Amino acid sequence: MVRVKHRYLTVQYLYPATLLESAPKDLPTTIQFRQPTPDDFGAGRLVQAIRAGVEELYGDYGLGMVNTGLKVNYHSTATSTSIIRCPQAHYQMVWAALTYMTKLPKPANTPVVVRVIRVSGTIKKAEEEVIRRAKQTVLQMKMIEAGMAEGTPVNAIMNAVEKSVTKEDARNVLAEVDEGEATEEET
Amino acid sequence: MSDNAKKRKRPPEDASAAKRSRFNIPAARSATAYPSGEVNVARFMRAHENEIKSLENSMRLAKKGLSGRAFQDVPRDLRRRTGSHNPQRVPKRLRQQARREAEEDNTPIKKGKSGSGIGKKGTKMWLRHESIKKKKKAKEKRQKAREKNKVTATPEIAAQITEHAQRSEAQVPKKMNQRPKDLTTLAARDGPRSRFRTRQIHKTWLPTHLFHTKRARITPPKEPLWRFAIPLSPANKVYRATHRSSSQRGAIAWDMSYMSTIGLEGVEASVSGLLRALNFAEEQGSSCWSNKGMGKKWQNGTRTWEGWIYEREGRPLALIGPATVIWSVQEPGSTKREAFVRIHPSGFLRLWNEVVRAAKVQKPAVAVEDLRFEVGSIEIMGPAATEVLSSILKPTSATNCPPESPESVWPKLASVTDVRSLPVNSLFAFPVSDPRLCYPPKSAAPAVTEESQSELLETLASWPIDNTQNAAEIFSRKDRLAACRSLPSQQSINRRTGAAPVGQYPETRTTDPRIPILVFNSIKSNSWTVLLPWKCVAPIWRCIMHYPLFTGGNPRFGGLKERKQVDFERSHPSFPFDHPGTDGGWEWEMMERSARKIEWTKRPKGKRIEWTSIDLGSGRKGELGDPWACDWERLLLKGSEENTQPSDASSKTKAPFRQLDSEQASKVVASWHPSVEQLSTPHVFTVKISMVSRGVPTACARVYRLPCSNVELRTKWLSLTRGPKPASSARRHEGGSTWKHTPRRVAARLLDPVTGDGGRIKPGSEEYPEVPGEEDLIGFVTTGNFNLAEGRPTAVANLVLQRVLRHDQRPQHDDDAAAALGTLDTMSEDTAAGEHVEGVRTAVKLGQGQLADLTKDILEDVVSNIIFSTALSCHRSEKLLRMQSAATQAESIALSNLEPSSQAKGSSTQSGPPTAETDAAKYENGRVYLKGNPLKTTPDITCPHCKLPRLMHPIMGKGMQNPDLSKEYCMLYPWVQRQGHDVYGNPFPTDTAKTKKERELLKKAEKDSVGTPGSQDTDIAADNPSQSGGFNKLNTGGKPASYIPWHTCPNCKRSLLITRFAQHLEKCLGISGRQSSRNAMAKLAGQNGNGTASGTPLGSRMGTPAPASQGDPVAKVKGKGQSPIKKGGDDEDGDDNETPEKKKKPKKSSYVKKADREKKEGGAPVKLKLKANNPAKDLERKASTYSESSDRPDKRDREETEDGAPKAKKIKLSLVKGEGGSAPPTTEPPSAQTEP
Repeated sequence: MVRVKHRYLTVQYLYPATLLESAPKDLPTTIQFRQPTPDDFGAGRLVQAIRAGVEELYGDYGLGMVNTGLKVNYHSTATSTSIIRCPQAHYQMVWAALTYMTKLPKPANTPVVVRVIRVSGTIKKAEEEVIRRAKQTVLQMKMIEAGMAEGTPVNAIMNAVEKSVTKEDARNVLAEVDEGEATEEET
Repeated sequence: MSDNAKKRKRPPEDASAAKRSRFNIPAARSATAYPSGEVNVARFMRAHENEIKSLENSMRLAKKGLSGRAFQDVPRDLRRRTGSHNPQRVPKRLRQQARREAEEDNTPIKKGKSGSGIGKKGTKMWLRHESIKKKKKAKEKRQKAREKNKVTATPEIAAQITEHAQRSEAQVPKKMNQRPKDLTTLAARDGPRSRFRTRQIHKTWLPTHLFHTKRARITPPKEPLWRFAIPLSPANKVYRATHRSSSQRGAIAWDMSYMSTIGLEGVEASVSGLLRALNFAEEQGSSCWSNKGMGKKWQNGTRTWEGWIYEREGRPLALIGPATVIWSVQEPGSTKREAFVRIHPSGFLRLWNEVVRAAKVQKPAVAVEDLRFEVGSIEIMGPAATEVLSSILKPTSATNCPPESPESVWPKLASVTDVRSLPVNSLFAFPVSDPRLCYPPKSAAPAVTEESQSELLETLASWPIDNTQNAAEIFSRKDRLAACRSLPSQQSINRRTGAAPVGQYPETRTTDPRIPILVFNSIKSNSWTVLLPWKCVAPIWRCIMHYPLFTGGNPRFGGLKERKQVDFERSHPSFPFDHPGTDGGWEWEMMERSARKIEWTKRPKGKRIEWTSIDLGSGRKGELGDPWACDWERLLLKGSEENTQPSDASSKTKAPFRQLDSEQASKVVASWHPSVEQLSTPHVFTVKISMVSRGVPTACARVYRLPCSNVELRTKWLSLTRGPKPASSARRHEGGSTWKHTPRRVAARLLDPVTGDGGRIKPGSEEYPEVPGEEDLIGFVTTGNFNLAEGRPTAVANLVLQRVLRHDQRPQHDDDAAAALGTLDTMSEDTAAGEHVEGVRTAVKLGQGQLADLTKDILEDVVSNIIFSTALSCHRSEKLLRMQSAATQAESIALSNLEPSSQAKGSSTQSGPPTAETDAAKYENGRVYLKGNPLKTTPDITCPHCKLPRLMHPIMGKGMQNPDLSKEYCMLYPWVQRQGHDVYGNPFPTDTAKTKKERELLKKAEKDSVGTPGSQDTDIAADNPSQSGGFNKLNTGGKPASYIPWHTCPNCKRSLLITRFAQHLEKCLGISGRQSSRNAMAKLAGQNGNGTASGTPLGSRMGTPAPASQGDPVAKVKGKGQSPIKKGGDDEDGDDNETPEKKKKPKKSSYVKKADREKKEGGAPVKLKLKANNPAKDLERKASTYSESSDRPDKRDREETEDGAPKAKKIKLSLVKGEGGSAPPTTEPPSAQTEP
């Protein structure tokens, strides 16, 4: 199809360094890590930050290339996720600008790690990725709420593996014999 | 402002809100998700859940925003072109939505203008209102008048009324109970209900008319077909669906009640006598009258027979049309038999008249009855047809029947998907219950168990119905009428259904109707036909239409067009459309003509084919004859034209041609012997046409045979087919010819990739052959289209027999006649369209296995050809070699005999011609005669050049044999196959060229080793190089891997290794080095100064006038020759001379220029030793030089003799000034070196 083609970057903001003051002490590290983004870092600020970053890295050329199709399609500060649309040919510039972003822009000024989770050609796939991740997170939180220890995913995996191993063992029995017969054979 | 109003109105702001929302996905802010800024697990989770929701919602909205116009929701077959901009064109339930969307999207709504406009909402509504008013007034007036009359004459009227009532009472039972005594009058249909009476004055509705009016286009009210209102085509799009349901999936049904049925009743002999008189199935050789097999079964009434029925008198027989004849089963104790003759309504009247007349002739007479409006029929075809019928038509007495009776066999057939798996033209006759009592119908699950399958197979194989079939009730008028009368109304059935428990059918009652039916299959049309009383058609039809198929969906219904389409897809001529030789077909053709012409005139000028300006080539303009017609009149022969030109009126209805059965026609055409009657009256016959090139033949396309008078044109047309077989050519304006997939053609296509459509001349191009003349026109296409069943365009055409055969009457061209036979060959193959559907299939399709076999055959052929030619060429070359060697041997013997004598006599006197004789050949005076087979007489091969025997086996590697080393062999050794070696047996180079230091080291080491006295054999070889007996190592020829070629410097004539050549050139030409820089300086200085003598400054590419290079080239060479590097090298050679290898030295390859040689002859030997060969290779080198000298004696021998004995020593480069340089460099080939 002949049209202007874009790339959609699904982006997550991680806060490895900042501690929340208002948080309870037993807050899981995942939440600590993925705490909400300050509201004053809105979509407009994000675009500005990207532009500034691209200009810094690639100069006027980069800015010109990127500026045409740059748009924030989805920016959720509550979940620290956004979907950014950028020109197909130069999405790497945007990516680089995001990666080199170490601090949120001025009023917030918190240290941040911007992580590009997925690059897709359609917004649908980007959305699906966000949904998938959110579902995963919700599941994880549920497990934490259910009282499982931190690092529960690992535990869950271990449990699952153990289960499957026992199942496999049960299946690997050469022949299943009724107990009565077994005793007969033994005798 | 006015300008603004004209513009399209702007869409409302919120119209595409749904679409836009896609790009603004609502997202939660941190402040709302965490109101107090407090972060905990629950809030975190909720935030993510909200995210999921909002994103999913946005995806849903986006999906909705993208698609979802109302007209797109309409099922495909209900879609209309105008649905996108006319909300009226979508189904009612979607209209509102469509209107809203159109408004939102700013689509201008177009109002349809269809209809007369007089309807309730039309523009001319007032007309209707007015007429209603008028009628009301008139009615009031009448009423008033009546009231007046009533007042004046009441008693009289009362008397009249009673009289009328009495009369009608007397009439009613008469009408109900019996028909007029004389049955041989045309049937009048029962008066339709008063509501519909005025609409059926000139035509009759089919029993399912009300069903079809809602769903199909029916013949226009004023133009009925064959006095019936026949559905032409469903309102939905069904072209592909018809193809699918008739052949692949589902079922398609037609109400065929318009087919006429004639009932015959009488003694069997009389009835069969009547049928014989009408020449029933004459074209099949009257095989139906045989006393065994199918004929017998047919006469017994357990099978039907389809055949053509003809007029009673007149030869050749005049075809009325194809008819189906069904006998009733002989009832015990009754002598009378009944039979039905079913025929298309277009032939009914003619047949009726014939039958009535023939019936009177029979003794005892046959009672003839017109059952047109008494017996209706439904035709159904498709894989699910049997399933539909067997579940809708439920025998009334299914429970208490013997297991082999038709009633009990019938339900078991549900799983039969192909009618042809049943016995040919088998029939069932039994009374069925009203299917409306089992409404809604449930789909019958087909029997899939193995048992039931095998049972079914057994039934199909043994077919017990042939013995258990009872007399069909449908033949009896009483039963038919009873069924019609006892048919309950829909209302009463609804009442009963309502009373029945939910999900169950109402209970059967004894008063339920028994509908007599007769079901038979037709092998020709691959379909089922149900005969049933006229009034019972509608209820059964409805049930069939609503039956849920096991494979999903419902059966479809078709119109006349679909029936034609099915026939066309099977390449089966349909009656009457493809039978212009019958009256029905002729009438149809006349109708079509005018319809086509009207259609053409209706089109705008730019969009219709301008027939008058079509270029037919060679100055002919305009289509031949009436372009909208299959112009059969043009094809009438001149003689017969006079006979059959009585009046215009009769030519409209009477066909001037006689239809000939295709099978007969193919026989006639193949044997080339038409009977006299066939020649006297014009005959037409149907053929199937498939295209050679591209293009779709349509109706009225002209069919030409290959031009017979114009040979050039003929070859042009033939070249289009690209095959050995000529074919008759059919073309409209795309062109094409009848053509058949022969296996050979397929093979040719496989082998010759050019023979696609790409290699063909396209119609419309300059080279495309022009249309043959009118004398070559042989017929017309009656139906043509792209055939979905075959996947390519086909057509059914009719050809005039006389035109096809006319060639025979002009026997002056012999070759033409032969070619014409070819034409007929193809036609006879194509004629299969006529009768046998199977025949057509086998003729057209190429089975899978066939193709595989074919491919295998071709491949085997090719491979064997290759092997054969290889073996042949091997044998031939071997034989030639032996012959040559035999000749060589003889020649050499002769020469050796001759030489001593000539030497003795001083070679001036000539003795007799030299002769010699070996056991293989005889040499006589310069000629060699072979004796016998050289393969036998000459055991070994001698080289014709060096006269030495050749080695037969390689000396190393694969297949090696140690040769007898005492002999000398030709240097042309067989190629060696050995790993790491080339074909000469030389090892591949393993390392790169060695540097000078390494070489010197190697050399020294060699010297030491060679200096030992152990190397005797080399000495021996060196001692007597002319002797060949001393060889104990064979030279394999070729160049060793370490060999580096050399080249002669064009400037100084020295031979140099090419690795050193560039370096040398630089110096030799004075490009580099100290001297060159000086030259350059000088040149520059010259330019800067007063320049050259001519006064013009020299370009950089001009000759350099430097003083150092101004001397003659020899001097320069000399200067170069004295370069220290060269000196060093030569010194080494000098050192070599002191080694024990001294004797060998002269044999080493060192080269002397030709110019030097000349000088040498003059007495001053100047030698150039440029290369110190690797001593390791010396032996081989030496041997190779010997063999080379023997190989090419013309070149080397001379030089050897010139050089004389190898006494010359290595001499340092010392050129005599002037002489060496005087040799022109161009005349000197660079390879003219020799060795001392």
